[in-house]
Amino acid sequence: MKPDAVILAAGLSSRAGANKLLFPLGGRTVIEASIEPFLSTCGRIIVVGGARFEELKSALARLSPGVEVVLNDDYLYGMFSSVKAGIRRVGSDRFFIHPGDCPLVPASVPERLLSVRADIVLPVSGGRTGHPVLIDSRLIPEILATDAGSNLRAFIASHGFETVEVDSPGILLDIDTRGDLEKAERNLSREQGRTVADALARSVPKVDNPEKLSGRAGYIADMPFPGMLHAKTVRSTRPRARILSIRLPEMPGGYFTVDRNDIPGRNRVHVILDDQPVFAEETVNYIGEPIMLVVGPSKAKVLELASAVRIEYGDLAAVFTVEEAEASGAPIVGGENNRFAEYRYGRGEATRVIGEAASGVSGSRVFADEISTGYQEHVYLEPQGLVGLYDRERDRIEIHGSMQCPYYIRNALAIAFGWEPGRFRVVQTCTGGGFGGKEEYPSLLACQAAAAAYKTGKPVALILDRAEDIECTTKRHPARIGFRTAVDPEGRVTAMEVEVRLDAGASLGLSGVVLQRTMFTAPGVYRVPNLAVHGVALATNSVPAGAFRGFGAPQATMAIEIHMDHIASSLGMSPLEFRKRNMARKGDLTSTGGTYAFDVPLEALAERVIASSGYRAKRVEYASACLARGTTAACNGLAPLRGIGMSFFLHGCGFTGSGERDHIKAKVRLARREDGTVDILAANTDMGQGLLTTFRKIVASALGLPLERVSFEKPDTDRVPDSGPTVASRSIMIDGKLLEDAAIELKSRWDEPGEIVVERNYRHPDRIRWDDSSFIGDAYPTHSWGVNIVEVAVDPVSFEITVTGVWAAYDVGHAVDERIMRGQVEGGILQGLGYATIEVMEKSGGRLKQRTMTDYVIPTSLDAPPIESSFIDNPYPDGPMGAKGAGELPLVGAAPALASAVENALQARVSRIPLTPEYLMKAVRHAG
Amino acid sequence: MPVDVSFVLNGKPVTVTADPLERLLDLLRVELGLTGTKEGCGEGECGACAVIVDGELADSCLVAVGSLQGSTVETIEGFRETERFRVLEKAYADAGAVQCGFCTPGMIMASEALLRKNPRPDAEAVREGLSGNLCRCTGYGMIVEAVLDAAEKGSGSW
Repeated sequence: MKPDAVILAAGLSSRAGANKLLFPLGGRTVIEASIEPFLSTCGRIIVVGGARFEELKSALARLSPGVEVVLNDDYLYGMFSSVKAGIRRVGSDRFFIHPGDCPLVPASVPERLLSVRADIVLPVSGGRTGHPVLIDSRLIPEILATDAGSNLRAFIASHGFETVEVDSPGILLDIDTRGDLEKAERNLSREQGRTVADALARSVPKVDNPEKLSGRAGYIADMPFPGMLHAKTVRSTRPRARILSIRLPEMPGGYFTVDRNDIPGRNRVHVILDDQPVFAEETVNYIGEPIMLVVGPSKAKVLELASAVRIEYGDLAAVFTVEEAEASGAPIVGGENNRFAEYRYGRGEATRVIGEAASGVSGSRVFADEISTGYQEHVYLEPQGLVGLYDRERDRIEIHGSMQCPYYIRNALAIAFGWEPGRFRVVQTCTGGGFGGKEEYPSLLACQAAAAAYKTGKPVALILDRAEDIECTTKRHPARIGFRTAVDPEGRVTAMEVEVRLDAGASLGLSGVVLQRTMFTAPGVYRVPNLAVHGVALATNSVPAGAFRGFGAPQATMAIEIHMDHIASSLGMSPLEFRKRNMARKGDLTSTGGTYAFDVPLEALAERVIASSGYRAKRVEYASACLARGTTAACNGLAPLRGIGMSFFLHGCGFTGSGERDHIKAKVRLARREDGTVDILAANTDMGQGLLTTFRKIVASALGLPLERVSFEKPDTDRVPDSGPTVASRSIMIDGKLLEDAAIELKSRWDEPGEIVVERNYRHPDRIRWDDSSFIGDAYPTHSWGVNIVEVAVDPVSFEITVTGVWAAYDVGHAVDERIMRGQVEGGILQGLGYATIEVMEKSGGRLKQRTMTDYVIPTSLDAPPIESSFIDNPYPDGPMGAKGAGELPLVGAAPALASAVENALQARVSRIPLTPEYLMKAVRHAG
Repeated sequence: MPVDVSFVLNGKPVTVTADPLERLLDLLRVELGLTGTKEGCGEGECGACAVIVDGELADSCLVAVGSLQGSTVETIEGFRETERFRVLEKAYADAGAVQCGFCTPGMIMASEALLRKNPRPDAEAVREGLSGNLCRCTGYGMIVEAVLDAAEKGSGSW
């Protein structure tokens, strides 16, 4: 005879606020999870309800049909009254009693209890008794006769009981608060050894799947605005020149030009220093610089008119490379002596230590490298585009379009127009990828489209075609990074000097901030007791470089990691051993002298990928296979050379230093509507990375509501507060945390009538100390970590690289959604592999050589290798659900691991990316 | 010189008067308001504008309207009404194959074109079949899984 189970579900959930039994838990509810272990072992399941009985009953009718739900009218008298109400229904010879808020009991526990013959049997884990309890039905009359003021625990204690050791901490955990739930799940996950621990990280379907899959999603180019005009930009064809004259074709009625004279306020795009004009003034400073728009109703006519504009230039001396920019006597094209930004930081006495090591006194050695990295183009599939509208009645401007940062745009418009910011409304439309490319550049487009709308009184669409987008929008900064590193006889780095040069292009834009991240990331994950870092962002007459996923860190990580490989090989050490000897650990100083305050799990991450990739054996085997072949000439007709390489990396999460506190000052709101739904009011944008889903998941989890009852629309600055930009891997960690906190407050006020609005402002954690003038302290609130291994096959004749496998392990705190996180990882890795290999962008005389997607290629499905990725759970206390930054990290580590693999395959050193066949051929010749 | 062109669009006969050199992409998006087909590059590299013409996957930015006389054209707007779309839709959602979504309608049409020719492709065949459609977000792995899953779950539909 199967035993019955009595599930106690009558309590008031007073501590948890909402009905905790209906909290979502890995795709079901707490009560369902509590019932589940009894479904196979028990005959009847009797759920005793009380408070919120109807809610419980309907939930269980929907979710667990076949379960009997009985009402305990006396539930206010306490749990013992529910025990009695339940056991009156028991018909079996033994029965379980189990709380409805104890969801983590493995199904094996009831089975184990049944194997013991005794009046009362309890499970024990870690020396403590837990749930459920198994009772012989002969005791029922005795329990029913026990005084109502007593309780089951006292009865069990007085009667005596047997125990069964089950080693399942889940039996000890009941859920009183959301915190309990998270803690409980993490404990259980560890016990089960799962890769991504928390059941709350399990994946939900992305909320925007249906509209995107069916083609109904509205991107800006899909949206009709009545009476809309089309705009085409007339651009500079000279890298640096004075504009002598502009001759316009005859403009038919209804066609206009819009230029700097149509900017009502300052003709400047507000980024940091406002050094970029909205439309060119007397001089142009790069090929592609916007000079004017031609605007009108027929797109074809607009294109025709724009191409008929004749501009007479007087050429000026220009600089095209960082070397030219630095040369004495160079024409000054921007900043102070062509230096837009220049910084230094460090500690100890790097120069002295390196000098001593170079003299060989201490047995130390000095290793030098100069690593360069190229441009990278974002190639978001949706080109940039915005529509500007002028509302004459209300004297307001609206911008709709593809963007990452609605408030950046609003602030830029306020300066270009000289109006109050409140007179602008900025609305994000479905955005087809950003990767940083839609961080600052849309501010320029918005000022132009707004000026055109203001002048014409009609909606104006300014939508770039691909060639324009490639030629004229920002890209990743080319970098040149030099190292001089002293290493003692034990293989420990004692000092490092780093020189960073970024090619900023024709205006500062965000280059100063990018430079800071390159500099702070330059020593990588390593302990460097004496450090001196110097960096400059140089002006050249090229398209301005800007934000791109990783924001200066991919350049630095590529450089330091290949430098570490070179040192290891010079020392005759394995790259792994050399890294382990030098990598930072919890409590060590960061590059800027802050503290790694949390676990640095590099060792654990490395173990995973080393084991699954077979790195150690392959690294040795591939090297000797290459060496055995002799010179490359002998390689003709032979099979590809194989190689395997690794990278250790970090990514500083969020804004640098005090940015959040002093500049961003994020604000979010939650609004509980009368119908019990909750609206997220935040300015963060989903450009594909999944924020529409993950923000809702964070709030729904904290409130214990189903996802469908929480909504989050694309931001509209008339509706949402300024939560800061969607950049720097900050949205979930910073704004997600504010939303989680707001949700916890909202939950505590849930019973208030009517609409409730909860607002949260960013508060800087006290532990984060930063000095912006000396660059000393915690440059970032925390770091995310990764270890990558990449395996390649290199054709010995064509030097074409095929990536044959990628193994990647990360610490992103706690993944809010596993499936979304995997998407970030695989997409980021492939962007990083492209960066290191086939994504080539060069310039000649200030003109980019690659200006179409035929010339600038990105990886296709045939280029994408199998990727095996995993995460370790390392919850971050200041992030929602333990999450920290995750979006940029996966791109950062791929290129150096690939470069290391290519070195392993060819037994030759490389010192730049992209690794084109021509470059590899030279590298091999040099090595030979 | 505009000409009349008659063809079957999403199962219905249509006759349009258009410049024969007009791109099918512009006819669909601008004249007919079928904006599910996207323009990503305008030069046949990215596949965001992919539709099916006479059973073959085609980049609509490279198809001249004048060449369509008597042809059959299928776009996402027609395909999304089919059972096979529902199989692919679920598989894409389950696999996490959608990020920014801009490549997605073209990717769905490429998946359909592939599965019509090869209802049970292996992973290599899927990668080959989708190789004309670029995605910058996903790294492709989850899209490949989606198509393999659809082929299995929708067995018999293609």
